[in-house]
Amino acid sequence: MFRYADDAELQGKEHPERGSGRTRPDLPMSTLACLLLGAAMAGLYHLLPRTRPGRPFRAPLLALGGFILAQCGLSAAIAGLGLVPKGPFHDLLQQLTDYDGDRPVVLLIGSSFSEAGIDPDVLAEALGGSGRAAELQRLAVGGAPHLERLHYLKEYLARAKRRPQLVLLEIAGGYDSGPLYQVHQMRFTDRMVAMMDGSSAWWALRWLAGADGLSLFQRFTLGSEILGQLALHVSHIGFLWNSSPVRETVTTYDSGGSPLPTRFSDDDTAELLEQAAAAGDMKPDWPADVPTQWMSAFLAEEIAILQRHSVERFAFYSVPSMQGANVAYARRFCGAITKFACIIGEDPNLLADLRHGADWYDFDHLQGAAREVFTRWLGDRLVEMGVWP
Amino acid sequence: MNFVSFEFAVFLAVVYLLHWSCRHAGTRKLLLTIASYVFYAVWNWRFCFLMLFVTVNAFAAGQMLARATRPSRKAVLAASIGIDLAILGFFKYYDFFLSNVAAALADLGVSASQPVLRIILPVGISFYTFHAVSYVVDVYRGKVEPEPSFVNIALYISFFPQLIAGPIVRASFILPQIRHLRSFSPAQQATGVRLLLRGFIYKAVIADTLAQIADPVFAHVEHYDAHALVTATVAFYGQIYFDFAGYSSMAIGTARLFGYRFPPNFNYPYRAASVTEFWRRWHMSLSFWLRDYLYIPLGGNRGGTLFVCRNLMITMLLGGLWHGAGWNYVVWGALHGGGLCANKLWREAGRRLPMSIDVRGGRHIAALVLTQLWVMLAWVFFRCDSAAQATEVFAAILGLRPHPGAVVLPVEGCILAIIGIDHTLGSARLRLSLSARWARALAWSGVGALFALGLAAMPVVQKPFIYFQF
Repeated sequence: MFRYADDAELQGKEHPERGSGRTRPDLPMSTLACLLLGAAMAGLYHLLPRTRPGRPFRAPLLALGGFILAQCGLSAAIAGLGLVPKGPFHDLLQQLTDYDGDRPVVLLIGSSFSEAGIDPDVLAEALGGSGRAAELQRLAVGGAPHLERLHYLKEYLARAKRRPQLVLLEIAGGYDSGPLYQVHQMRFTDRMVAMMDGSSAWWALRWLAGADGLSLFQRFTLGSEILGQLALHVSHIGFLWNSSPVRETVTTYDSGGSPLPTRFSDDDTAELLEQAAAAGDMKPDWPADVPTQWMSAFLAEEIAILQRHSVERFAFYSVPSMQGANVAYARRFCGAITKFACIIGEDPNLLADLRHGADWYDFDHLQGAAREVFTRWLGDRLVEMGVWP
Repeated sequence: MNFVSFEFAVFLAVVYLLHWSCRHAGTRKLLLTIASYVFYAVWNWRFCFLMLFVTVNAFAAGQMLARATRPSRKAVLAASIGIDLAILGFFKYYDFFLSNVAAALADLGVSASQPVLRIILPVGISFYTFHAVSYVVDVYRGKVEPEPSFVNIALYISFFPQLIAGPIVRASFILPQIRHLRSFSPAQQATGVRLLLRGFIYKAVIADTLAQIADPVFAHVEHYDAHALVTATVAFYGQIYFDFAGYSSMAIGTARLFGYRFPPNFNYPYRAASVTEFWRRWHMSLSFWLRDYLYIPLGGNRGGTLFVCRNLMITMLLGGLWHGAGWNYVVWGALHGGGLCANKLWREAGRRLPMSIDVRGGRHIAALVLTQLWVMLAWVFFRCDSAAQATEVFAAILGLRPHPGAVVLPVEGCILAIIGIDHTLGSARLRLSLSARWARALAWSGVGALFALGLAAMPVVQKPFIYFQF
């Protein structure tokens, strides 16, 4: 069947050894539940009347009706039992939506750039310097394409006890220019299947229809993948195995742990940052119009959804990068956005503080002390520009 | 190509539509033959030539048997079977044989280098060589006419529903069907769909869930305690039934969709109250094949008790070895051979005793429990990688191993209940009693609903069918 990859697999641990050296029961209760369901299904199969198909198409129509009814029943049961697909977003959502305090919520939506480069506590502290404390919530997971972010934003809004007052949206040339790149890279994984609902599929197909420079074969492949994942999502294939109750223990996600060994020398970093600041060209395969028509429509939809949930303030930001194309993209993007504040991480003073090789995990991801430096700078900009309070 | 896979669903849909849109029997057969070779080539296209060679060998033998005089017929038969067995022996047993010879020589103090070739075992070789042998022997015995059409023989040997893991369909059973144009019948299609659904539930939902219990334990038996090993043994007892019966049901259902009828392969074997009865219900196409092509030629029941027991043991030892090149399979065959002999002796004793030893009531239950316990313990040898590992499992279960090991949830009762539900409701042929209109509505909407539930309850990473390795 379509092969799903679990998180362990995505991290390169494809075949975790089960059972070795364990001293407690390692058989999940879902196994028992599936066994009981299997027994009920086998029993029901034997009890079903055996009849001839009758008039042409009657039997297939009845079977289709039964299939759809069962799918509806499953959807209702899943909602009733509070089951959600396993994965980093749901663990994160559980943490974020539980907040029921008095401080106003600031929601930050992004990818690994934000996950690595922004420390929620430091940003909350920086915003609090304005005299109005904030609860910072970072809805950012590595490799999350826009479709996935929007999917989980909707879930967040549906479940959050406190609605956000300010939403910060990440700008990144790669994600904005090729919204299906990560979807293709992670095709048929738990994550992609879980987020590929009708709305995600619609936006994905809409991009596919309007994208330039794709061959017919690429369009066919990507289109098939989208529809395949939509089918898996809608038909709940393997859902009972890949889901968990929403109230189960969650993992704390914080990528601000020990920095990884330095890859760049201080001199190299300084030179790369200078080149990036001076760069004016984006990557050749990125569309020249920034934001693209698709991206504009997508952002309009995202903002409209947030506005329907009483969010009134928005801002865009880009995380510092040593790649000129990313900086150039952020500049063009901010140039095109007039309605909302748009902050690019290219302030010379900020970059001067990030010229140490130890500050960078790679060309685009901050680490160690650098994340605090950037986060504080971002908080100060938001206050200066009047985005907060 | 796994039957429970997206690839197979697409393959089946395409071949199905093409098949029924062809009007001529010859075109349909050619299409199915090509499709079957494509099906096989997805695994490894190189071995298509091996299957083609086996087919040519069978076809040529059939033609020669048609023309040969009486003395030379035996030579043709022996040559054809010899070629099939040589192919099977080389690909399946060469490395096993050489490593055992080397080990035996080493025990005698003779150092010998092992020219082990690490030969890839072609999927389904045990099945398609048996199909080829079945055809040649049936022609020799006059049970089937020599087939003049090569395509018919090629389709018989390669027909994709039974290519990888059977059922082993007799030439005399299927060739008459292949020769005639298959007609499209809604009732036949309905049966095919139901059988596919049944196989899907058995395999995708139950067997693969049971594998989640059994596989981790059997992968590291040294880490688990006695109770965990018992749970895993019971889980495998259920898994292999639901896996193989599920596969067989899907194979028979798929063939039915194309208008072909295969013989049943399973008849609720865990209801058997003797090992003899077990083999009349388990993998019936193999046990009847072994009976007709091995046991009876060995002498069958014609002789004294010891002679019959000898034949039973030889048949089951070879049957065990047929499953895999390993001593654990030989032991598994020996245990079943022993069970058959014990049953034979019991029945012999019954004839001589003045009292009845018919198994009814309480005695039936005792016989059932004893038989199934025997079958279950034999499965340990079948499941383990080696006889030594199986011995370790028994040592742990009997408390002869001090290491307490890890535990798993005790679900033996649940697993046995599932088997009980399936066997009781399935063999009793109980049906919900409704008016014709409601019965039809329930029957077909139920098929759709069960399929939807099965999709949600199946583990997403599907395991290959166990018998694909044979």
